[in-house]
Amino acid sequence: MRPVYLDHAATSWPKPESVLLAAEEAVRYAGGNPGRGTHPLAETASELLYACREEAADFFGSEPERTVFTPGATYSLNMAIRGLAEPGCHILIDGMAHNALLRPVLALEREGICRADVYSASADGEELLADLESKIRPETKIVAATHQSNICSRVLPVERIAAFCRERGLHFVLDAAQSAGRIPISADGWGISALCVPGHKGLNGFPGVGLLILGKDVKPKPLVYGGAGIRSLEEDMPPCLPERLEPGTLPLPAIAALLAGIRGIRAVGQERIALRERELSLLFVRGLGGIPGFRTAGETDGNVVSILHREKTPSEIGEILAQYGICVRTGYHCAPLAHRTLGTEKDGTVRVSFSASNSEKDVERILNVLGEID
Amino acid sequence: MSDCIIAMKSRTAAEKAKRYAARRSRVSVVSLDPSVTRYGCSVGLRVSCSEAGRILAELERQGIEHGETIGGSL
Repeated sequence: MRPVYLDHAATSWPKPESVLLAAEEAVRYAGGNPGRGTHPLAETASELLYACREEAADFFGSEPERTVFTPGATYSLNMAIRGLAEPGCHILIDGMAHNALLRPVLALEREGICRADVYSASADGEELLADLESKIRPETKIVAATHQSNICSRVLPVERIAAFCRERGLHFVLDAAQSAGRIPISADGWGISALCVPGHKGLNGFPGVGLLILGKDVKPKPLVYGGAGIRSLEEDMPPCLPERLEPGTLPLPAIAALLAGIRGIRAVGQERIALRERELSLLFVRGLGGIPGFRTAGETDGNVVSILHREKTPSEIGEILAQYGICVRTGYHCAPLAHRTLGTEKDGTVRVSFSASNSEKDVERILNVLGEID
Repeated sequence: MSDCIIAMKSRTAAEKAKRYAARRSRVSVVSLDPSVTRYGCSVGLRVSCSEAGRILAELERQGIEHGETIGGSL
């Protein structure tokens, strides 16, 4: 039986044909190492690399020179937080933060480099901003925010948080792991210092590549050092971006896939994708309302819906669904702060996450199985 | 017709410059001879010397960082 894939918040699947083809073509015809030499295969690879950089920069409202390829959003967040932190500084993160953001900040605290606090991830924007304001200190340097939660569909008012930071001269780091490809983002327009994006979720690319898009005049310290293809006789990484933050060989097949993924999203439109996902999640929530014993946790008006059963644990529900080929994620989803915010820290939740590639039939299949659970 | 090389600050800058310059001129990215750089591997943009002045002006307009121009007389 065909699996019903409802775990798009973890990674998107299946990948569009254009994405698979782009990766294959990169391996077959652009096999050189981009930025390393100018022979024909390296040249083709460099052109392909730049094409993706340019497309991604344009998609997120930035410039190619400030669009850095990373191994993924977790790396991007680590590079941004560690690269911008200074000894003695104070960092603020939101109450929906994923461990990809929380852990690098806590590590800096443990190392005695920075102090950190958590500000409210309230669904009420005024409440959120008031709490954020109350937690600012003279030594605050970085404010980070989760654009969309990975356990429910809550979206934080990040444009307002960005403006708040801009007015106070603070760095604003945005975790767009769940929102990129679904919610339009304007990196320069909003004044984002560091936009952290995965390639394999909403952008439909492969795991292994992400983006760190930097604001004008934002230059984090490198996290990793190595060859950059230029200025090889110098001891330090080259001063220019993006090469300063891109040591080692880049994963060109995954980057080619990302280029195809972004182009595919542009062809359809993020608004249309988000609308379709919302239709499916609303259909699911409406159906769930008719099944005794289940409830939702947090916002449900996006592509991510968390559910709970009055008796069975999330992992028990997940196991039953898996027996029917239905793929969901259960537990804490690497986001303990978010579960505390939603009051679901006891066992976590069953997370059902849709994409526009799902159908009404998929919703019907999961509801049928959930309906059989006592 | 002789060629000139515009030294570029990075490979990304070279690719960006090539996009702009290639709209009206024949250009290619080339490795620079180690003897012309003090810091190792570097790249430049090979252009027709007769086009170099126009291309440099375009790079300035676009804010694309570049180094000196090698060869020809501008």
